[in-house]
Amino acid sequence: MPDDRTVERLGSLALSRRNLIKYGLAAGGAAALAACVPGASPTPSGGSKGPSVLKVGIGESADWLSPNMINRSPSFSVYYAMFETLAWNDRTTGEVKPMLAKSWKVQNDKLTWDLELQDGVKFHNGEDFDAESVKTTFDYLLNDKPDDTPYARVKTATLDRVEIVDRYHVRLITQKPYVIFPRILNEVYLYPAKHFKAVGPEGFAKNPVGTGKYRLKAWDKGVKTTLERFDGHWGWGGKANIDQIEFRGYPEDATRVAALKAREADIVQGLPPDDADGVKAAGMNVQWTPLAQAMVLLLLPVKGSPLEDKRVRQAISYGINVDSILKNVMLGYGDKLNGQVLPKSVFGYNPGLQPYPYDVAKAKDLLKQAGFADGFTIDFDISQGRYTKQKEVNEAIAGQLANIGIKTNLKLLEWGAFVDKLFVKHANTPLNYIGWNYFSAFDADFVLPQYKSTNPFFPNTPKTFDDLLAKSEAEFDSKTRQGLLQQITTLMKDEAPSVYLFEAPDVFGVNPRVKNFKPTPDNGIHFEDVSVG
Amino acid sequence: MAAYWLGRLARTLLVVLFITAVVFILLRLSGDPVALLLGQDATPERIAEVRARLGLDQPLSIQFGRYLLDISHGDFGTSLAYGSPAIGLLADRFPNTVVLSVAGLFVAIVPAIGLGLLGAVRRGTKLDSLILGFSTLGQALPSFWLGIMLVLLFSVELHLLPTSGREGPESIVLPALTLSSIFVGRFTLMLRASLIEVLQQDYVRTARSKGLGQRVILYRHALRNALLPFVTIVGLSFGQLLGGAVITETVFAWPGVGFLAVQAVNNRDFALVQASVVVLAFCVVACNLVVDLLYPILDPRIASS
Repeated sequence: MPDDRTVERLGSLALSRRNLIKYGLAAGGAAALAACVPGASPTPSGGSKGPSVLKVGIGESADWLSPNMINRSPSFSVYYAMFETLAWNDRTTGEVKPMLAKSWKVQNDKLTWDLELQDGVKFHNGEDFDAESVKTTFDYLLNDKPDDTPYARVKTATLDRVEIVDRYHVRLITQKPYVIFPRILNEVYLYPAKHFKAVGPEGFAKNPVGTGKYRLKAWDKGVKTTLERFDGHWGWGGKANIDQIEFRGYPEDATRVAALKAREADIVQGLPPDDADGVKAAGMNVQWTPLAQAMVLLLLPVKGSPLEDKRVRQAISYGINVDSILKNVMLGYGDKLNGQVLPKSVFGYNPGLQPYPYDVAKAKDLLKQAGFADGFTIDFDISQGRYTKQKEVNEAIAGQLANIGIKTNLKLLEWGAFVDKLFVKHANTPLNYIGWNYFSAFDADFVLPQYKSTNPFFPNTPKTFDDLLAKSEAEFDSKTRQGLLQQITTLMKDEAPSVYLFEAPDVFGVNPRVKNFKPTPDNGIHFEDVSVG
Repeated sequence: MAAYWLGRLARTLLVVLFITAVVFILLRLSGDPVALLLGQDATPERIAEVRARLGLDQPLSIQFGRYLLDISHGDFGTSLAYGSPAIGLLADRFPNTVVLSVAGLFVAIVPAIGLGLLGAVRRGTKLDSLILGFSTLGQALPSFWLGIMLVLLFSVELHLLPTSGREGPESIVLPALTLSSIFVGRFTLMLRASLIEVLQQDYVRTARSKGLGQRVILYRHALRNALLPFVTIVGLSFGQLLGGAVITETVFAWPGVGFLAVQAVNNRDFALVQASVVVLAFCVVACNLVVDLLYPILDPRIASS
């Protein structure tokens, strides 16, 4: 029998105000108490005297700072601030310009590149930059544990060896003529020879040293990386106005946006377009740039698929309304590609081309000519978590294709599975949504080889394309090469191996106290001339 | 007693071995990590070269055998993405996960005791219904949503707590609250049910008839006995907290093992995913084992049965 009286008496005891507070709210109090710990409130950015500090919110905070080894875009901004390269690609003019190399010249064999190096450059640890630094860095990429250097190793695959001529002259010899070699030099961050040899690759990743405007001050792995201005910098580029830069990782978009609104971060990268209005309403600025990343719908001419017929590929190009997608899905964040896979910031861009106009009637007519008057059904793969609003963009594309009679089996795959299916197994899904990256070489040759007939994607690419591309890769005269690339892009518009959609955006939320911040299309932040009020 | 402990230990090792095998096979079946690592512009030759170097071109059984041999020496392989031993990366992050789990457990236990007590002694009242509703809601709320809501309230609106990261004691408040939300409800319901059962026992009536004070009856006799199953579920939940902090760690950028595991999955970083899952699974199993081993001490009837 339940002892109700006991229960009631005990209830009255437990329900007294004191006990309610004592036992019922104790846990909530524990959490609140933590907020009363001295210094518990987060320090809002700005408003303090002393060193100027810029707080930057990125996708993830580094665990491992090894710029030639780790290809992780959230760390690009840290690399740009700490390290320097032999050459750099001007984001505004598209030209490749000297940095740690004063100049370079290719010999008549088109294999041997002679570089004159800057003198008077110091690494953060006081070590001199010289030819030994260049040789040590490239030798590491070429010979030492190639599995540990997958990123830069791929980019320097054409390099054969490095020879020191004298302290400030080196000779880089490639295995084959490689016209964009100076642009590739923008990929390789220079290491100090003595320090690197002393600590090894692992030690270097834990204690990285560069020649950049900022050096490592403190590092709470996976949480925060703090850089401080390096006063011994040799003076290249704009001015480093900020005393300290703190990079914090916010993998979750919502948390990153909240950090900006809470004034914990001055700049956040990768702001979702849907959050832009909310960020503006909170008194923050929104800035963006087209990223040198061409978003395309790959139209793979899989055997037996309607896409083997060029008219079908053209019909799909006519049937997709890119303007509408940019306006209604991307909310204006993104730049339409002009009938080619090359964005404007990339060498080889063809200003004479225009995009396919949105023309449903023309699309249907082409399908009819190709024998698909009643349309067809086709498989369509997209990845998730990789590109801005990719699910929404592709749902819109699927809807527009349905309007011209093409039904799609849209499949959303995890990025690893998507890459495995598309690039490793070549599992023959005709439609695939992907972004081609051009940073940081900003050259057509970063992407065009994907469309060669030797590539399993496009076995029916015309021989003309292959020949033109081969010529362009061996052509060292910029003007002539530009002409060849324009012929290629014209051919590619007609062949329509992809629907050239738009250049993806890189959107930033910026606290108004940040001055002179200019987004760049290379997926990172450059801090020259930036200041905080 | 020794036989009981040995039996439990053997079963635990089998579970760990089974989990290791499942993780190993599933990861291999899910795609090629080298292609992902080298990027979309890597040549097939380069992919093949690195696969061969890493032993990924060997038959699955040989790969698994080597893996077992390696982990028996504490070698969980090298992270493909970081180029560093996976176990070292985990060792860096593991203390953070433990700290968060302990905090989450604490934040769950304290209110659960209060609410469970109130619910039991005021059974059938509006307050009890409220507590039942709160407990159910706590278990139903997705931690992702709750975490974001807490950030918006305490960080963006009130500026009381940081949005994320791990700097100072204040950083742990929101992640611990989020992590504890499911467990507060579970613990409350468990304690309430257990206490109600105990309060109906004859010895409680006897105690009252002996003239003992209500406070003594509740706290010394009833609560003490009701805590046995409560302690059990708390012990079991600690393992789940260790392994289940993935979402919370990601939302709050808390640098723990769960967060690292998510990054590893995204990068198809075989060694790191395997190491993370095996270590987390081991933690869960170890916590269960500890609870199991403590059972016969807490209640000798279990060992004898």
